[in-house]
Amino acid sequence: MATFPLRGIRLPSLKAPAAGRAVEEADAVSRVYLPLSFGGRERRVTLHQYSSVLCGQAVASSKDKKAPPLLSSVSGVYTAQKVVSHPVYGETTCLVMDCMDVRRPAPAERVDVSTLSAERIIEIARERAVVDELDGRYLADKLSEWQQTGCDVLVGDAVEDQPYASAAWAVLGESVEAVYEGLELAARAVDAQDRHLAVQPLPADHRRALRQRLGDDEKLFITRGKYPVVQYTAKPKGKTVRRIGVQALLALYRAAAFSEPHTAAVVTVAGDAVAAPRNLRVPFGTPAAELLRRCGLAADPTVLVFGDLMTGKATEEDEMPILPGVTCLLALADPPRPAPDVCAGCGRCVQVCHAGVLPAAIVQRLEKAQNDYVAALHPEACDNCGACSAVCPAGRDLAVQIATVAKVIAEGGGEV
Amino acid sequence: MSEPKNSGRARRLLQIFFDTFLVRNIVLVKLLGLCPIVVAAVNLKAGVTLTVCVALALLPTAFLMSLVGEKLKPVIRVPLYTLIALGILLGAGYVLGTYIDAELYASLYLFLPLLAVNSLMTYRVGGFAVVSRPPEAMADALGSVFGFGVVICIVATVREFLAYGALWEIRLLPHPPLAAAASPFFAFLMLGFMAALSQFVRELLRRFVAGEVSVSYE
Amino acid sequence: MTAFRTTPHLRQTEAASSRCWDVLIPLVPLAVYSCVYYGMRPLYVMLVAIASAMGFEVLGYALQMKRAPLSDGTAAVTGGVIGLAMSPIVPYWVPVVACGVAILAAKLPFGGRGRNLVNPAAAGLAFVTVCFPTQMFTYPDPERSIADLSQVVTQTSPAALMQAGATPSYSPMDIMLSNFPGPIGSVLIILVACILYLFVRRASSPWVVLPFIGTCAVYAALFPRVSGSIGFGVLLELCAGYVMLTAAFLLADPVTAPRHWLARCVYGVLAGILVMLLRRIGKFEEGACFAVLLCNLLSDMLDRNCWKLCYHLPRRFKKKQGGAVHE
Repeated sequence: MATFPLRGIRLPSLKAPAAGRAVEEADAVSRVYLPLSFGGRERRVTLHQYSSVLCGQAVASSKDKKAPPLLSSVSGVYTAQKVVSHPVYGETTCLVMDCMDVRRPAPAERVDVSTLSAERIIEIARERAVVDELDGRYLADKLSEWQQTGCDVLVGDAVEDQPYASAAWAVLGESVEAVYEGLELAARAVDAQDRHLAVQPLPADHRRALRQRLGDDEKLFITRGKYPVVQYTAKPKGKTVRRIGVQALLALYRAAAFSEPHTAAVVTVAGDAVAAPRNLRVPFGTPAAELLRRCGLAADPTVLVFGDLMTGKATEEDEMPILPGVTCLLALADPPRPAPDVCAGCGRCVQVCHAGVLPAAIVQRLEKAQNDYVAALHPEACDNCGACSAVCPAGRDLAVQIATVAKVIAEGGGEV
Repeated sequence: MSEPKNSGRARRLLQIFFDTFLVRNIVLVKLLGLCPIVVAAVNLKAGVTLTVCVALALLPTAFLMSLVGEKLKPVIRVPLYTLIALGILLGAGYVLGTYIDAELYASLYLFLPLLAVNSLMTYRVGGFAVVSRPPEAMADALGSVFGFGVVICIVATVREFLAYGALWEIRLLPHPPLAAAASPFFAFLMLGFMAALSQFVRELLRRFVAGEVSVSYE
Repeated sequence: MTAFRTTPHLRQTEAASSRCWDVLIPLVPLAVYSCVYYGMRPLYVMLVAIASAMGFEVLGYALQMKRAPLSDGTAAVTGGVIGLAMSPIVPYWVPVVACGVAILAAKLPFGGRGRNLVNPAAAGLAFVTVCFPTQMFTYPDPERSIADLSQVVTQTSPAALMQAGATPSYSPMDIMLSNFPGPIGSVLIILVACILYLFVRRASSPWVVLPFIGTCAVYAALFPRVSGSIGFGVLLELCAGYVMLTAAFLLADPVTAPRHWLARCVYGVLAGILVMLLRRIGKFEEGACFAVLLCNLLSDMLDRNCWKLCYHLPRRFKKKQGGAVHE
């Protein structure tokens, strides 16, 4: 989509305490939630109630041959099914596993990955249920789709342009070589000529260290642009640029080399109510409360946010599980927001909108119930980055309203 | 206009009259016939003259039209009645200019014939009267005339007083308080506020006499 | 954990009152500077205007059985701007009438702050310009005191002189320091400072103001009304009347201006042309408020069409070129 590279907003960087610390492994988790129909697939439970499974074992399967299996992220006992209303994924049926051991099985013997064919790589991604944390889709689905539609530049995305998240940085600092191996595999799968990792303008010593470990300056690209406009490659004109999260790349490499299933996510736990912000590696499906307990609370949080400050979804329940696709958990002690004021017409939302729509005009039309005109203003071009709501001095919920009307239009309802 | 059949006919006619006169005032709600009010109604005499002329043109054409009904095609109907109204108005203009008040005629000369092609005529008479029986059509036309007349007379009175310090050409104040009231923008302002006021009154009526007054927004 | 929050969780909300204070602050030096020439009367005119605007706001909200949100300051801004466009010797009832029209006819009937169709101050000024041109455009000689109103020596303003086809004989320094008969807020240097202050506080947009001033200057240079150098003519046109005041406070009022940058440019240029045309062929020596009213009504249309242009043209161009996919 055509975007306006000069638009967007400068966000504060609040990564500091978490980004400087190494990734910590979660040591004890009481239970995890495994989403039964994750990735848009209907699955049937293949276990009996109260039977035990090992970490990485399949607990549910689908009739669809191309659907990755649902792997247990811990060793434990399947106790119940429960419907949770997840802030990101909505109503989701989950298997509740009582956890006995969070340790992953010892990795298998290292296999040489340099000779794997494209089809084999995608198959590995499917078997080991590798999920891309950027959008919560299965990597196998994305790779086979890109095989068809083409891909010129493949980017290992560690940009994290929002204020708090630093999980991708932490992953890079931990094992940037393995991530790059994963990127090589993925590039082979989709036949991309160019590939590199993309990070934010890091501190110079970080950058130097990463480049030294990679051995080649070309392998690490420093992005430019304001939120949410990011230039992922030096010359994007005329090229198809595809992105994969670095956690997924790491998981792809480990799946190929050590047959390791993708069962854990690195999550940044931060926010002004968190005592010791840090990056935690937790099994998929760990409830948010366990993460907060691990990091400690400095204040009583008013709201929990799954995702980062700009696009994260708020919830009040701390029993909500961390599902694949969530890399940031915020506990905020925000003061209550004032009621939205009337639009003063300052035009800041139009200035920052990188999709080039008129947020204030769309919402004004909605408020005046001039529904016929709304579609002509192309609300569907909005990708819900939230920049307009963030800069609005009147504190209006522009992005939410535009997303709602765009959804209605996309569903074919002319009337809003 | 859906009324139960058993209600009395007089009641129904009254209802139509008040509906067109107050509830859906031709000027303040439907915004028809603004041109003569804004430009020509600078004194009460002109206002009354214009009202009489509208009555002269509107009542016979409405009557005629309700008699003929839909037997004529719209292509013929509309120009025909416009011509009839134009004839009446030209006659009225001649009578006014020759026998009554040549000066007044001079100040109105363009607006009398223009009334015939005013949207007020074509809309009101062309729409309602065609599908109604003569008594209803007459009630509706009378309502239109009164609606137009009341508004134009109020606007004309206020403007005459402010712009000339006079009423019915009788000077009341030595100096006009607001000479600019004679210019069209003042009439627009007044119409705006009167429209708002009529909305307000209608809303009050609707609240207090819920069910008694038929309010239908078109 | 109580309140449910919508995304994004980062907000830069400002209080409405703080935004209006940004506009009120620049009014102060303008009024004070005028007092250097005319004594305390300009300040009284301003205060009467501000007080009456706030009074009418209270009255208007009282009619709706509501409490007036005076703390947001918009009524005070409207009153202040009206006060600045007045002559120093204007009778006190003229700004009161202007504020009455501004608040009761142009602002509250449309729903009050943030919902008005046209700038209230411009509407009020237009009303008194049409109704009381003599009171509006009678200016005192800045060299003499106006302590006693019956003894005031009036002078023809440069704007009126230019309209009559004459060339006012003021030195450029006098013009910049407002040492000529004119409205209260007409001193160029402070107005420029005000405009810059409003830019910095983001209370007005350069996309509107700069094209507007530029258009006025270019028009004055191309079609000079005075003999003498082009620079002098431009300076005179910009300083006479309340063109700069319009640029600073009336035109760039964000509620009634368009939102899109191109629409803002077009709006500024259009207003500039209209202001200069109204001076040349209009009935009054200053018609900036009419130009503002006209452009206010066009702003929504400009917004829509300029946006359409900016949105669809690059896309169409790209389609012709074969298009590049960028995720």
